[in-house]
Amino acid sequence: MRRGNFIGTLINAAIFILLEIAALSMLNHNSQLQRVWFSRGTHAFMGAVWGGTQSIKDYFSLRKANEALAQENFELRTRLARFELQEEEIWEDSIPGAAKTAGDFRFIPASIVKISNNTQHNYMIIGKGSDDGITVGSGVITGKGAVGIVDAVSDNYSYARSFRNFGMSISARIGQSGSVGPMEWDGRSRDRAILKEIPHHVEFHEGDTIYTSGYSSIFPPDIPLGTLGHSKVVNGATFEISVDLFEDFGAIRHVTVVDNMGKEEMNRLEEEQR
Amino acid sequence: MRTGQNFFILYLLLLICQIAICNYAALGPYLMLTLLPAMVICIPLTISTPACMLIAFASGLAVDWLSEGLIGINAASLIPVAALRSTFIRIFLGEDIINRKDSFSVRRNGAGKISIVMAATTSVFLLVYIFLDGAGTRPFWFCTARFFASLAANMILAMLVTDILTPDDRR
Repeated sequence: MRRGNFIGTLINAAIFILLEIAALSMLNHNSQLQRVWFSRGTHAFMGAVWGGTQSIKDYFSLRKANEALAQENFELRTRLARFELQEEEIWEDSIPGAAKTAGDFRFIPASIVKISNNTQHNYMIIGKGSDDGITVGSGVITGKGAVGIVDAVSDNYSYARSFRNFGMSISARIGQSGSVGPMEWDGRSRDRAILKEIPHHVEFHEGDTIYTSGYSSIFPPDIPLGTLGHSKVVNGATFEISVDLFEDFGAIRHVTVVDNMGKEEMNRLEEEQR
Repeated sequence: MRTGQNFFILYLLLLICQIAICNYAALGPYLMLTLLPAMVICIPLTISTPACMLIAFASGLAVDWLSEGLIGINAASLIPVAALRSTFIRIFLGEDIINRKDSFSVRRNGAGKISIVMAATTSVFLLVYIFLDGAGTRPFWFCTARFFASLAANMILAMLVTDILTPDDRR
């Protein structure tokens, strides 16, 4: 019975549609206004249908599009790598003599091959090694600060401990001729350090710039490191001062390895006096 | 009881009246008079919906053809009325009339119920008619005013047509 009703409804619907189409087509043929209106409606409908169909087609062709984009991405990356290599060569060429000396220090431009920034013991791999004159204990600097110390070298690569490492400190000075103290990473921030052991009597202000002191055999003096922030008294005797570093460790790409040529002689002298 | 033959003679006469109304009773842009929805709703229930739709189509086309109107507009407006005839009767007058394929009348079903059926059918007809006639060029307020003015006028005509075409009230 229900099946019969369903078929009856279908027949009714079919006849209704047929008759309605017949009537509307007659109307369409006999009136200019209605013809234009129908034509506009039909175009809008067909536009929507075609648009929908195109969207569906586009959706199913996304895989192909993704593959094409991946291929294009790969080609662009290859080109970018080529340009970066050229840029690096130009940068190195701009420094007359890849390794330069200034006083006791020899400067070797290099690029970072790998860097870790998200642990408590961060490191970097430098794309130059003992063949380029890098030795263990050399400092690693940039124009914005001291960033590490070379711990191991191979023929073509060097492994350097990043400044963002527990237990590593750099001798720093407030201003060009102020008080000196060890500066350590605060262990939390990306761009903060702590300057320690600054005597109580020393005057300083927030925003003062600090530099490498030069009182070590690793880093040359007067490399700007950062600016002073807030301070606190520790043990009633010395200040601990927060330092906002200039260098963004997440964006380092090129570095300069500094090798103190008198380092071995100084170390030998120290050992003799012990 | 009036025979089917009599019904169709009356139906034809009313159709001629409708043609005359279309040709000679031009009452302005806000008012259009039509007997057609009431005539279609009064087609005996012994006639199936597809047949009713064919009659409606032919009636609408005849009016369109023989009056100076848009050919197809009355036909296109009348077919939905025929398609919904059983539904309206079932909803407003009850399932029994459909099951027994009985006829309805003002006396038997009451003027209120009949007028609701007529209002519904005339509304369907007018909505389609005004929509097609305007062809997207007339403002909404004009179409609305035309719809309500025509509905009010046609309700009176619809009750008259029902009175003529439904048999029991003529005894």
